[in-house]
Amino acid sequence: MNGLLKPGLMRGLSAIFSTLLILALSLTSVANANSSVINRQLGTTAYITKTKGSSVSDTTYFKSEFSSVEELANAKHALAAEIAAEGSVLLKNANSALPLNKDTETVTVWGLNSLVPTLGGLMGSPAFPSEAGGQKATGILDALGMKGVQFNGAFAGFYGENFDSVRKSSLFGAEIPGHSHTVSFDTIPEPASSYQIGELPASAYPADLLASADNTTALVLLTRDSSEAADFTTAMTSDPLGNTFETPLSLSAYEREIIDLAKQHSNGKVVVLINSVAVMEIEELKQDPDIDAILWVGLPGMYGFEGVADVLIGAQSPSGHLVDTYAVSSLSAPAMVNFGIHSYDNYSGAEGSPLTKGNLADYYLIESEGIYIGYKYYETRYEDSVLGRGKADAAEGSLDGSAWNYAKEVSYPFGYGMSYTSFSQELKEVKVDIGGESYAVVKVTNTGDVAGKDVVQLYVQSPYTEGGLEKAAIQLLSFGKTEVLKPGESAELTITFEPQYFASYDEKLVKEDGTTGAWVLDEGDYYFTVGNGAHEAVNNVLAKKLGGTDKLITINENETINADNAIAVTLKRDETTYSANVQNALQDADINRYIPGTVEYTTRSDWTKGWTPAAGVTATEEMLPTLQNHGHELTPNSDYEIVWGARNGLSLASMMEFDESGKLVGVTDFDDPKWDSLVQQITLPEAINFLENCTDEFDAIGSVGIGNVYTNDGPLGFVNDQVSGYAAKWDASNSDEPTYVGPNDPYAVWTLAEMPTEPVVASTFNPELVRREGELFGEDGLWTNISGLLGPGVNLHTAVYCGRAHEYYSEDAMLTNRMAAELADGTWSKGTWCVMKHFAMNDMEYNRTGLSTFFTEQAARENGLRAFEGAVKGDSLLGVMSAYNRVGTTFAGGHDGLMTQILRTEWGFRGWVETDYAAAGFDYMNWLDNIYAGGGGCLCTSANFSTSEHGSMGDARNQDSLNADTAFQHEMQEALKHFLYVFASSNAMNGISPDTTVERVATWWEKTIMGADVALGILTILSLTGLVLAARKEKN
Amino acid sequence: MKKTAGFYLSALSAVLALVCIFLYGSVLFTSAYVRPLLIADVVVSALVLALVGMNKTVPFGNVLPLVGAVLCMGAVALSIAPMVNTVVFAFMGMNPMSNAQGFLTFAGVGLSAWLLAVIASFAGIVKKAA
Repeated sequence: MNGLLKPGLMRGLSAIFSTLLILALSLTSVANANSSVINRQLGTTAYITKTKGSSVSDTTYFKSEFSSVEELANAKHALAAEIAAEGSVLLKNANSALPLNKDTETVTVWGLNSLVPTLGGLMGSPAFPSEAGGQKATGILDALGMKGVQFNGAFAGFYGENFDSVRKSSLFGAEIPGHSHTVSFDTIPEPASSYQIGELPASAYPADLLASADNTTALVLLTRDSSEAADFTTAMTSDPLGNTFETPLSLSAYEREIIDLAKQHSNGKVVVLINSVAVMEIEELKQDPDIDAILWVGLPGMYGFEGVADVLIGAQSPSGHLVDTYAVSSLSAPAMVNFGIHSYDNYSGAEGSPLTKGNLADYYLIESEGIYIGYKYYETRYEDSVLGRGKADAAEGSLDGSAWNYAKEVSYPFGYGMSYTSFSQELKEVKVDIGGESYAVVKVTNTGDVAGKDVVQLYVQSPYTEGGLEKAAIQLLSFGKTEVLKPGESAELTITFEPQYFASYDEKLVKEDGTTGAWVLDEGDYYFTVGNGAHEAVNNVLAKKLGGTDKLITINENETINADNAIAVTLKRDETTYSANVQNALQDADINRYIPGTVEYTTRSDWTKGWTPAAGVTATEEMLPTLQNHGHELTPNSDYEIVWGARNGLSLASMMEFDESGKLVGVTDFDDPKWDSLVQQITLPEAINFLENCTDEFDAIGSVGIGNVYTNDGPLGFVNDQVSGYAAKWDASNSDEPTYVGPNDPYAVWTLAEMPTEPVVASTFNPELVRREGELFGEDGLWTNISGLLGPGVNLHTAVYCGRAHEYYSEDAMLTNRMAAELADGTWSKGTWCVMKHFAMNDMEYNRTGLSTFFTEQAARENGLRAFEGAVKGDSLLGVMSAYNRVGTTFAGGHDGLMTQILRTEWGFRGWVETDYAAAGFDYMNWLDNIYAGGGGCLCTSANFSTSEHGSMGDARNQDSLNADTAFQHEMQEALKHFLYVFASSNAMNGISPDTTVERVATWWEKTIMGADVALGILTILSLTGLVLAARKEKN
Repeated sequence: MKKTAGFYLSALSAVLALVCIFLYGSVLFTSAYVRPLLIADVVVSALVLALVGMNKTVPFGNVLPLVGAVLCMGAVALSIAPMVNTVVFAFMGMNPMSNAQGFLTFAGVGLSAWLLAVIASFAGIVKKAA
């Protein structure tokens, strides 16, 4: 032993052990900060709940309607197919090409993408089945086979041989099929040019293969992908395989070649399936007499093609309607004028810039279209062109540079859809009750010879004065859907609506109380109408107003114009009924407020305006503080008396209210001071830890008796990259729970994000189906031990180049409003909450982190915000996720006007709020601005903040100023109260009673790390001691 | 005094630490303590090595590589936390690798400096330290 005491050896060992100890301690710190992520991946839990006896007879407050997880999986499968069937939109059906006759027709499915169609999103909502769980998605070929359709197998073989070289890409390090967007979580300075359509040229098709398609029906699949963190860009004009396209949403050269081949090698029948939620340019298909039918199927999720196949063979008549306007050109909408990648002239890379890269403040988006999104532009300009108003016929904004002509601009209008049968609709009555609920009565009759469902779309036109408040000529107000009607059968639907949703927001109106901004109903005639889409609706109104149809244009053969289906209701001016607590809150989002004249907004008073892209923008002195992420400061104040760590003897379960038999009947009213007493029991460190670590695994708060609460990303169901199946959040200690799924269960690793994408769901126009989808999401919550779904996405398809259309329902606010509300209600009925995202104006994906988004307040309130309003103001409890972007120059979650004035004060929202994921370095999403503005919890870990300018809330440097700012602490407690209020009513309380306690335990990996640290510490001490002894020995 | 191989390895380690100070400028998300640690390493190394180079006696001079290793590793260890997300995202394909590249280069050079210092620790910088 003595021989080992050599100075050199001891120095070397000391260097090794001491430095490894430093590294280990650092990694320990990182691991602890990310413990929830690690626990999620390893399936470990750090908190356990213990109940000693219970005064409650049954603590399973939310029970499943299924006796096994298999039953639930089967129910989801069936519902997914049903939604996709009802969501398929028949756009063209010449010569009754559809339905197919499976007894006499053999089908050749054209397009390499048919082998692996795009089912969900690339990022955000992937629909990848779990191979380990034996799960299998249904592609178009599988679905046709299941339904007994004979198809040409030679093509599948050919595509299989070529698939790897054409269509595979990688994501998360794994090779995946069929996706091609360029995803970037970082900012990108130039438009991405890479987009791979994934088709082969005609020259690749061998003659014998083509011969095999002769005398078969051609089914051509056209596919575009969709993804979080990616957009389409105008720079995309070709792909690496030699395919070229005018725009990424136009037909590519190879697709045109395939269609030509299909025409040549078929029985003369060519059917095109649109496998895309991005609005493609399909006017040439519509006009082509050799294309017999077009069926939009969107991205139908894991089993949706089974429903699509049902429509193709006529087992079900199509009843879906478009959720977006299919314009002739993807670039013709005013929303595209300023969409794209724009950085401030004084961005962080410019010489002498006041901004730093760390500010994440370089990029901006100006939404110069104002309220005229989607059909609200095309149909409003159409009406003005008919009425000769606002220079609507001018060449500005027209596709070919000549006078603007609706027929040249739109292929299929919003809300349009065909059926295998025909229906008549009669608007019989409209009752409007300002301040109350109103309704319309519509009689629907199946006038064809096939059974089917029909959608009733109720539209309204508000009185417009030239030069006055901007108003769309037509807007969807409400909708309903019939049951299956047999030929000749009629049904009467009562469609309810709320007049607040056709009020206009007047930013300039000064109210009696001196505040500015109000919801206004102008005096005049309001025209209510029904129609197969927005164009038919506006035509009905015009026919009514003009007393004839001479000047009116129809663009599809089955469109009708019926003046009798427009009912005028005269209303008096009202500017108070819907304006309680309302005042301007988003004026700072108008770029012209900072730099007058920067942008010309689209206006129907002069349609020649708004077509010039905004010139370069230099961030002004006024814009800099918020761009530099200094929206709020901690300042000493004694505004509130703050108590932390009180011993009030309450627990979260004690806020639940039971009847005499021990059955749960509700929770303590939100305004009851008992909630404040409960929150005061929380210690400040607990509060900091909770609010700064709102990951998918909310930390337990022992002081109020609540263990880990789990939530997970959506919106098509819990996504498999984070949950990995039904067993993910269970451990053996839960095995007595009735919905427990163990690790050996066949469904343990089942992928849960199976449902069709949101546009497909919305295109059903069926509130009952969406509610049922929510109920099954709630069931997933019960069977996974998860309490919240981060979804639905409630942003709008503002610009068609936004790559995330699959996670948002529609271009229309009211369709989105209703769908989101129904989904939330269904989900909440099972004790699982939805988290509406992304609040708000998250309208572009590239550079979304810190993107300054400029718009008018009227536009936001009548479109983007109105989409959230239905669910947020509804009875179901839920969460809201703030958006990555800035509102004007202020982070959305840190924007007082958005988060407090609108969400809490005007809408009375009682649910909880959190940010989107704040990665390390995202200082603009800092806890200070977020919590102060009412933005609630931070979806991140403290570690992510620890190195940013503001640091972590728990950093020693922040403690004195935080302790001195009672107003900030009050906001912390308010945020916690909202979280707890939702938790107390949710399935998170299953298994918890007032007698439950929560204990922190060390997980196996924490013990392992601790052991390694201790071992290295001992070795370091020993080697340093040896070094000292060796030095002494040498000296002696 | 006879210089050992450790003298030259320590000098090389200090040079790499100096390079690291500049490389840290290209790292996306940073810790405030990294550069001071590296600067301390470079300054202490330069002083000790210069004195030894001039045949001056430096008390505990042979401990220099150990101190250098500790300072280098301290800097690298502290640089990890702010960049964890970025690096993980880059390897998952969710971020461009260029975001992580600066950090990975810095960490690679930093660990090289540490390794040289550790090797030098075994040898010391002079044959007979005072």
